[in-house]
Amino acid sequence: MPLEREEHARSREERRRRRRATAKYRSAHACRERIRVVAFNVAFGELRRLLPTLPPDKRMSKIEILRLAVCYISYLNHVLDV
Amino acid sequence: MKAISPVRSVRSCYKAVCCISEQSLAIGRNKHPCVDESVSALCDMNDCYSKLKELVCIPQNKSVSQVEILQHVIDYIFDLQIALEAEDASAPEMVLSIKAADITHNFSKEEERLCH
Repeated sequence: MPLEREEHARSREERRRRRRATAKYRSAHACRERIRVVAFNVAFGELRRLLPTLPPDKRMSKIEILRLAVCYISYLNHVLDV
Repeated sequence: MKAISPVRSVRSCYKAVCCISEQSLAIGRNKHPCVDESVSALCDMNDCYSKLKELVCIPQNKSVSQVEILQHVIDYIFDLQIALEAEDASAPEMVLSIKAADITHNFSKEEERLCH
């Protein structure tokens, strides 16, 4: 990389680091992350409600939900292809 | 969590599916010291996401986030359930008895491996 561009890249990197070091940024980032995690868990909850189990409200871990979703989709595909 | 039965119409298949779900959960819960390392690795979250991506027809080269995969899967299952109810309404008894007989025998080998 030519010397000028390298210097610009370095100062961009420094500006980014300085921006991210503030308490305000960290707090906003933590909030964004909480929202992301909640949305993720909500999606798992919705998927869980679609899966047939006995009892229907049995507690399932995330990996169990994924595995059962794979089996259930395969089953539904099979049944509808017949 | 509210108890909802998602498979309202396919009554005789419901038991078969719950049996399958129990089996797949039992495999997950039991600690098998003899299970090959590669087999347990195949059962991890990333492999499930890949498999689900394939099942809901998302091209493998497309980069999709995990939460997007879940959203596609939710829509896909919902659509399949609706399709099943529509089919069930047109030819109930015959459809149910054929499907109930098939279900325990005709899983593809790959899906069986995931369940067992």
